[in-house]
Amino acid sequence: MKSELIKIAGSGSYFPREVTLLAGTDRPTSDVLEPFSAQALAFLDDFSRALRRDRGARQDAEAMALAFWCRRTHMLALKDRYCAAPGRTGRGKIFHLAPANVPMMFVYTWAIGLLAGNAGIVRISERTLQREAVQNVLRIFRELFLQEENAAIRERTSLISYDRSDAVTEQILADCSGRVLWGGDETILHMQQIPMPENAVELTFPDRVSLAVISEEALEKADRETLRNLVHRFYNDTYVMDQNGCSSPQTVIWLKKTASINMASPPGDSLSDAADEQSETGTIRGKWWRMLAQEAEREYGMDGFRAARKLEKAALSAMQTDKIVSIRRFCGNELFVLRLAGLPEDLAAYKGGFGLFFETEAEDMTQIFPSFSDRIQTVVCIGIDPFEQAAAAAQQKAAGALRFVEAGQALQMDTVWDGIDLINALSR
Amino acid sequence: MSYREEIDRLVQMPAYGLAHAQKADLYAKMLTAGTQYHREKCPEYGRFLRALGCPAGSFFCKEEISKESVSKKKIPLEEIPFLPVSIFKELDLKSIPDEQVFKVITSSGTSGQKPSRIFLDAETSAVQQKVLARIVSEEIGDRRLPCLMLDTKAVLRDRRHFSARGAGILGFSVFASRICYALDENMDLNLEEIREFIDRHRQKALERGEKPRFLLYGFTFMIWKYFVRALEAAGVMLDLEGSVLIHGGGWKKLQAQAVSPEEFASRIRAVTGIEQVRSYYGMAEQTGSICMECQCGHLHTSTWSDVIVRREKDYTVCDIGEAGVLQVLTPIAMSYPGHSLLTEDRGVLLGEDDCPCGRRGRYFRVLGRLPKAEIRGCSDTFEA
Repeated sequence: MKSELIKIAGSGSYFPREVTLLAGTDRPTSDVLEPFSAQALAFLDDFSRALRRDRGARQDAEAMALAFWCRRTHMLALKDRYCAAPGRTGRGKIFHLAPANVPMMFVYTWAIGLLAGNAGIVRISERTLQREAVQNVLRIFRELFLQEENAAIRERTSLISYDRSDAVTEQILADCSGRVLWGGDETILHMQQIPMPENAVELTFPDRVSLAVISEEALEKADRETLRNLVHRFYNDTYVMDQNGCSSPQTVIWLKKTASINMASPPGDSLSDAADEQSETGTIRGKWWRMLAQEAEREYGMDGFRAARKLEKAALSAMQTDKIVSIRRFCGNELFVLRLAGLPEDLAAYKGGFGLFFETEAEDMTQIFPSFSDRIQTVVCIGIDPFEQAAAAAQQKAAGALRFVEAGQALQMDTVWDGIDLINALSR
Repeated sequence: MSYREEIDRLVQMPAYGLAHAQKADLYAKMLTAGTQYHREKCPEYGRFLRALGCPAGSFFCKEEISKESVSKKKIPLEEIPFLPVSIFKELDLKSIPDEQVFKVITSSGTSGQKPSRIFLDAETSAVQQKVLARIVSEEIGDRRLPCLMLDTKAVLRDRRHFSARGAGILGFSVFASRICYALDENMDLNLEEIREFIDRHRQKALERGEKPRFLLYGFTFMIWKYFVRALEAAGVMLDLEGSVLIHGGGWKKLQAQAVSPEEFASRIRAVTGIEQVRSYYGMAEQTGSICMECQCGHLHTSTWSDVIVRREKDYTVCDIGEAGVLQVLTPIAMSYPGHSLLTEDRGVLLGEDDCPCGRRGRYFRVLGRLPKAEIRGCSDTFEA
């Protein structure tokens, strides 16, 4: 799997012997750049183009999303959000730890560190490396770094791997100006125990739970094409990352039409009850779920293992609480919908995966905010305006690291994440 | 008759005597009672059924139901709700008060996974033992046999590792008149002891004017690695002709080494002379009601178990010969809601009532575990 281009860090290297250098330099510089430096923007644009040209990378949706993200116009749009405070620079070397199962995350975190003006040392997990798309991206990095004009970025990039070792991590951190930790709560708590220089900064991005709010009225007004497009975007927000991304919606909250509606029996096939051939296929909720399931049927590649995890999750949820009113399936095992008895105390307690959603309903947004906790992150807004909701949430002091986005944007990386402005936090 | 009385009666029935119509009748009745019983006794299970839309008082029927005659409460037997077998790793599910817990069986689980915990009361445990005895006696006869346990006694001593291997050995010990552990603590052959054991019991049998016959029991992979291969390496041949070897625990590790069931059996025959090599399919979540292999190499459901093979994409029922995921049914799970479980094993139904071996009931083959998929998502950073 690993190419012959991989060098083992040798003498004079910044890294201990256990470290394998995958791309970049084994002697990263602490020399800082200004935020959104010309060198960084130029390299990321080159990188974006190289990705899009690459036969292997082109096959991978996540690599293409990354290429889209890195292109110059998007970088400039991000830059525009920051007023150019003169004299602001990066901090030095930043250590990044990316989650194992979001394959392209190691590039995003490195790129944001670079945009802030820093050199980035990124530990990539063994599991991430097993992905072909990741190998393609690493190969593109190595090819770009062969070019002399990219030397400035090369000496600020160390993409590395090593077997889990706190001693090695500690050595690497010894001359770092900060660390950026993405991942599960346990990993983050563990990594926080490892010492680093006292003035170094630390950004942590622990597990979060996200949701979607859908206006029934807006969906009913939407024409077939608009609806299909929304479903497709929502599919990308959820199934693409096995619905396991922190920003993938887990619960759908239906905003009821102001006129009273009949909520008799929800559509879908009950797991066990063949008698439950639904009459109410005409509702917009049923239509939405059915269309989503059909999209999953075409695109997702459901398998027995994922189906088993969903069944387990459905059973566990129904058994552990008395809040689950019904379990319905759409298109076989493509989609499970678990109906909640009203708005729960904490929406973050409900986590699905692989196309298992919880659903409930509300009259309007203000009813929903009290069910938010600190662990709530992205709110995908469908048929309602995300900016208005963000303002309303702020006004009502809703809990959570909130981020309101339109359908299709849930997984899009931003330089502001979990309420932290990474560009500002990683520069001085 | 109460559910538990019905089960007592069931245990007395012949192991492989029920043809489809009778068995479907019986299972519709027994599993209706079982589902109702667990709904009342196990609150978690009751909540699950409620969420599924399976109302109290529903009953299963053996016949196909036409769409018109379907009512909320009348459910075809093949639509019986199933629990994912992995649920026992997550929750302690019991249909008995805590003070009646007689024994807790824990499954080994794959490394790094939580083990299943199955709660038995004295009665369920006894019924499981009886059923196991009935099934095994079909292979070895009614008399106990001198038994070579193809494992180390250490698996019993170490409580922490008291897992499926230990439980299997204990379970099969009841068929042994005398036991000799074939392996020492280092998993090396106790060749001296084995020879002495075989000679002594051969002698005794011959003195009684009987053909010497031994029971050998162990886990498939252990037998292969530490018994067959060790005998081959030592160039030793044991004279165990006429004996029976029963093994369980799955083919996964042997499949990885490309050892087929046929090769396994022929290599055993070569080093021991044993013709009767039988695997079985069973799990801690349904102890006792194991499915034993027949001379045709088919796994058989007995009076006390049934299988349904389901399509992975929608859990509809597979045709004969079509691979899917195995659902296992048993009426004898009384102290916990384990009467209808969807496993994570793939298998294929080969037929029903018509195996050349003459046994009635469904017979099938196990194809191995559902392959684990690489899961995306951000909740874990480090591989162990």
